[in-house]
Amino acid sequence: MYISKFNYILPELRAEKGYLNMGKITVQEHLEKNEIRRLDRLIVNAMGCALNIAFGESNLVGIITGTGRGCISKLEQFLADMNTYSESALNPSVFIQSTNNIIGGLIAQKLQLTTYNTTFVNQGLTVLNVLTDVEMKTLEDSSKKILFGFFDENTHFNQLIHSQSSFLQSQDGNPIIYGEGISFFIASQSPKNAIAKIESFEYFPTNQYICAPFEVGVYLDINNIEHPCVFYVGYNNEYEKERYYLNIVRFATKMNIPLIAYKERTGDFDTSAGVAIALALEQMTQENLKNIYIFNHYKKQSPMAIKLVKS
Amino acid sequence: MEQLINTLKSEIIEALNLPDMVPEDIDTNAPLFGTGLGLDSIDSLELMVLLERNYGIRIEDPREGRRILESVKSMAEYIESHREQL
Amino acid sequence: MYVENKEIWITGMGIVSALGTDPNACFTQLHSAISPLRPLLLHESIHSEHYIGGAVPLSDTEIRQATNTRHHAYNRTTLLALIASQQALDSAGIEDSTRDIISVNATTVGGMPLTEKYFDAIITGKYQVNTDFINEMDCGSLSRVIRRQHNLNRMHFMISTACSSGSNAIMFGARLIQAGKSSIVLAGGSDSISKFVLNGFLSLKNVDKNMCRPFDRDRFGLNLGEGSAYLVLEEKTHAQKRYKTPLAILSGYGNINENFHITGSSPDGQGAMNAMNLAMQKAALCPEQIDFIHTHGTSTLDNDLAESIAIKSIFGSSIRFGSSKSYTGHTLAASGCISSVLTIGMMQKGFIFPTLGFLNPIEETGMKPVSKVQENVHLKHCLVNSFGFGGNNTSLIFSKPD
Repeated sequence: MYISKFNYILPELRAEKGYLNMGKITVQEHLEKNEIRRLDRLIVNAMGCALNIAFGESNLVGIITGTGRGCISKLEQFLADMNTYSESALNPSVFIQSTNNIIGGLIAQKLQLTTYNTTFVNQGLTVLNVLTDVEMKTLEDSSKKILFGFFDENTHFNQLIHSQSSFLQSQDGNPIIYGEGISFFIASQSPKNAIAKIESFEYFPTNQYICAPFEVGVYLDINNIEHPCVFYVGYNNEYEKERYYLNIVRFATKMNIPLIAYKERTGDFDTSAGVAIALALEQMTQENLKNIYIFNHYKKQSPMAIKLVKS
Repeated sequence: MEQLINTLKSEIIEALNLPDMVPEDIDTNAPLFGTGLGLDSIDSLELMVLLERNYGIRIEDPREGRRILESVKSMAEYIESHREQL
Repeated sequence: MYVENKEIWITGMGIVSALGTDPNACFTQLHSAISPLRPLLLHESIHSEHYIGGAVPLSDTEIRQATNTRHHAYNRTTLLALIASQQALDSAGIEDSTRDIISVNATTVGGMPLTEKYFDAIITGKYQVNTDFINEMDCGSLSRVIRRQHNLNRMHFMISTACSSGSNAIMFGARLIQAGKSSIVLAGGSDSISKFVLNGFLSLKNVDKNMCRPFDRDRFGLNLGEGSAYLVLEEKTHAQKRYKTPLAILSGYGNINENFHITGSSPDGQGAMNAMNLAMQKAALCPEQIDFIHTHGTSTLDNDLAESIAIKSIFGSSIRFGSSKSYTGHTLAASGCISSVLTIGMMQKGFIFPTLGFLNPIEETGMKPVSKVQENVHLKHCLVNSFGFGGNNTSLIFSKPD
């Protein structure tokens, strides 16, 4: 499938607790103050990010979104309010905003789109879940376009959870920099006005993390890489290079392919690979690159590769 | 009553996070829903939360709530009459 | 050119709900027209016992034993999904060695029972919470566990579109088969009752303390439920090669978004109509060919009015329809899948359950659901509706094999 437009919001500062943090509401284009008065920062930012590329776009026949934990700050607020107010007099809008598909629904409302709308919430696999659906949807109706995107936010509670999660304990004691971000795209099966083609995306499911280095090695060997090419790799703080990324780094070194550790800019979170796609597309518009490959895993789950080819 | 009405207006602006509004902007007798402030069904539930948290008035049936929340005046009157019962 | 013409068979199904812990138990209880709803027993909730709902009559420990699950930290939503998905795979006769299948799962709150239990401890740092529990707190953990427990080799999916999630999982599974991504898909949904969700719906003031009254003039709101249901979807020729006969055929599906309000249905029923019309279009069926509509029928003021108007305008006043929410409670992401399995059971056994709690029709439409058990009914095509927050509406059509 081809991508004709993209937009993203990156963390812009390092929060006190040591994670990368998006700013407060940064996007308000296309949104009335009255419409966003109750909404969480993540929801407003995601709506703004999506509407910025989707507003006025004709032929849209669906919205497909993905998130790891949705609007977790509202979920936390509702849990805290349940304690504070002893399970009475609770704000319904807080509850509603904790629903994972709220952003897809609100964007549809703004675009007056009464077609397909779905949301995937599947940790690190979320990005591939969404790409699978976008690919099928654009093939089902090849003259039409799909708006798709990803969003995740960080909070103090989230940070506490992740610092204790067994999946995230680094081997050499370096802390993982946790982050957040939003990315949105317009896809179709038409190469017209396309920036790049998402030519393939692979999931290496066998034995997950342990066998993935082997599988990714085979993947690289059989892929016809066109130069100039760049690898976006999801390691951060270098602690895990020796495992999943080992063959990738070796291969890149041998073939003289530059490596970009994109999580230095995004931090780590469920849908960081979505932002990586946006960053890769941006680099493709600025430089003469034929291929960009994105390699990532999240919490040692769902190792994957995404291949972009410049149009 | 006058003081209650002014307090209520401030509380409504705060609870609903109404942008760029001051208490004087809300007409005491005008309908809160439909036209006017552009409030919706979730706002009406939020106002019931306000009544419960700030005045201890619990409304079980949202249909009854809609009648109480017709205007700032009707809210104030309901609060007053509820207080008298106490 | 992309052509979708594969016939999609249902070759396996599993269900666990307030009605029972396997398909036959659920069908028998539904046929008996007795509601199993009872007071909710939620730990540490002031609302416990004041509200009735559809709880699954199994403790977490009992489920662990029944599914041979040693892992101590799987949340209840995942455990319920493990029972239903295991039944579905077993009834489809899928052996361990042939599990080259994709799973599509659905949940709204996933690990919420764990999150709400440990939230305070994590925030305050009162005590260290076992990392195993932390790893099972989100939605995606269910999907990961289903894949691992059943040794599935392929990509797994997790859909979360509020109360239409389960039906969307079934529809997505069918599309995966149409697209040639897989010949066989395990698709289902699961949710468990949590303090969080009960309080959430209470904040919307649409929970009935007594048994809900779908499509009744004097309805007030919903009852919560929990459960899980899974279907095995299989491409016809693939199933024939395994000498399998279909339990039912998934002949139509459609998802649309209505742009009315983030929680409310459009009062003119347009959103519900669009979803049902899309599913019929897909199945190449006209309204006269639909024998029964298993409605979303949550018994809330908004939903039932909109759905009633939509049904009347497409199908007229004599169409048979009903809601099983007064048997199962509203099981959120599982509801579309639970309704689907119950519908397949009714088609197989030739009965229609009565909608309990219904007395007087909604004044605006005068529409009456089936309110007495109907026996020896031939149900060829049945429609299943699921509508969720965000205006997310999905309709499915199941057909009886010839």
